[in-house]
Amino acid sequence: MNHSVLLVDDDPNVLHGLVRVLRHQPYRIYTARSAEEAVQVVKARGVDVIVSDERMPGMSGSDLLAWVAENCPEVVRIVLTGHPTAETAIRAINEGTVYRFFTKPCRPAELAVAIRRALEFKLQLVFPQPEG
Amino acid sequence: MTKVLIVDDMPGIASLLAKNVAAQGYEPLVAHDGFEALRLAAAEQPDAILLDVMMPGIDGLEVLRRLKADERLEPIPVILVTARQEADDVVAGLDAGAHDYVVKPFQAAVLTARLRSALRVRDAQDAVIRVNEQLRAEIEERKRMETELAQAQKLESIGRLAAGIAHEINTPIQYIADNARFLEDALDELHAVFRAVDRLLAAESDGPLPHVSLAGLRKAWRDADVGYLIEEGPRAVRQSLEGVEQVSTIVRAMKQFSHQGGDRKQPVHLNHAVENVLTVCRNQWKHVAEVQTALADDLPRVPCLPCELNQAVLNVVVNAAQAIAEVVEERPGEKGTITVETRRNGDWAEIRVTDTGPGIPEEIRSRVFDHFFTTKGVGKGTGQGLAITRAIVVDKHGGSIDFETGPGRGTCFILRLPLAGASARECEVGRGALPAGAPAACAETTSPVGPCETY
Repeated sequence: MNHSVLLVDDDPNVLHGLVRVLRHQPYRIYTARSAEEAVQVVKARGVDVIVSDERMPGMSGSDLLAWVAENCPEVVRIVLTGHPTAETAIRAINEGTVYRFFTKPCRPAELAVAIRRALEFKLQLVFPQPEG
Repeated sequence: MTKVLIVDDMPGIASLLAKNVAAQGYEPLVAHDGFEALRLAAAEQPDAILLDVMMPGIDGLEVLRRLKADERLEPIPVILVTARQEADDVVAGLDAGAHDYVVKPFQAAVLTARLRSALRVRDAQDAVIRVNEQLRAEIEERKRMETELAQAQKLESIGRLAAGIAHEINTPIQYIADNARFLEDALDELHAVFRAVDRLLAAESDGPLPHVSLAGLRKAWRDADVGYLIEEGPRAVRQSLEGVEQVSTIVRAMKQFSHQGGDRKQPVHLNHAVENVLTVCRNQWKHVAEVQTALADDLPRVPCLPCELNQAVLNVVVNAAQAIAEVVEERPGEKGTITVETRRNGDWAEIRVTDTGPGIPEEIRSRVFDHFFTTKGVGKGTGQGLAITRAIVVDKHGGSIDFETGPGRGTCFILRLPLAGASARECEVGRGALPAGAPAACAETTSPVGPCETY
């Protein structure tokens, strides 16, 4: 099992905190401080799940997830935002076709479970389970 | 039908006048003395009055004075009817508010012409009064709307602030909670190590250490990933404390920002106010701009309405962030700069907020402070921010607001507040006059608005 998850947030402390609480999870964690950096990581490493903040300098989280949905649809997308608005939620669903939408503060266990489910969801997408 | 009241004690003249009046298509009312005239005038509200001066009882001039003293009768035009030798009475009558006079014996055509003229003037006056009332009502309405809009803008900016502040607080809460959970787990894991160490220490007191007990410690050590915990534990604590500091700073700034100062001016540290504003609206600029401050050390406290001042500065800073956002949107990854300066300029305190936005196009410079004027898309701005800032700075503080701008070189808004004696000047301020000694800044700015328009 060689899964990887990319966490995107412009606040490094958030990334450090998430890496600490997810350290025992069975996947490799990458972090990116901006959407632009995240695009580079996705292109270079090909991650399984991406968890992105919404408001960041430069490209926004919903733009990033829309880009991922368009260019790397196999990467499962999760939003983790401290500033949830109806507008961003709608964009995340319609353009980013996100798998989960979390608001900060979010309990680490919930996020960890969502990422696990996202990985399982991805397996189903790529290798559909035979009927019965 | 137009009613004309004829007042004459001589029945012959009264009926002659009545006949002339009726011939013009007006309805004549006749009174034979002053009392009857006042009674009829009050009851019938005639459109004009032909008033004989020489009458027994109360004379025409007295009737005129009483008519003019009555608010309801005062607008009715009065034409005095006098004998030739009563020139002094004519002067007294005109001074007392009579519209015109005719001298007996009169020509019917002259009398009716003067009557028509009086009615025309009366109609014109009525029209002016009506228009005035309409204007007054419109002004009232406009004032009421402006008050409501100012309130709405304030609520809107508070709403925006609250959302931004929620974000500013939620983010540190996220990692403080993550770090706390991490430390909790870390302590659990270290517990196994501590127990192994404890066992070793207990065993040591009984003699030389058996090899097997060290293996237990090594396993606990490895399982706990002690190296990682030793490195990450202190970092987690330090970053959590940073987060706590960030939350406290925001909460403190918010408390001071929303400080209700009431309607009285009080001495305000402009530098503190500026720092508070920058903190509470950090979320609105941090994604698009860096903020640099150059706050003067020698700035005395400025007499201000604290809450209003905060609002004024907030609007200008948010405006700067929005201007920069327009530029930055097209160049992802880049940030602009908002420079906030305070300085003393003679009897004035200045706050300068400079952005690296696109600058204000020439054709809209004169409308920047207009209510409802906005270049932002529908739903993005009420077009009230700068109008309200101007009202706060100019009308409420007797200050001035200007801007310097040029295409591609950003905009600098300059808020000036009088340092002292603000209360003595307040009466002038209400009319928007600029106190003496205002810096001649409007000469050097490219803006046609600001203090210039108050001259």
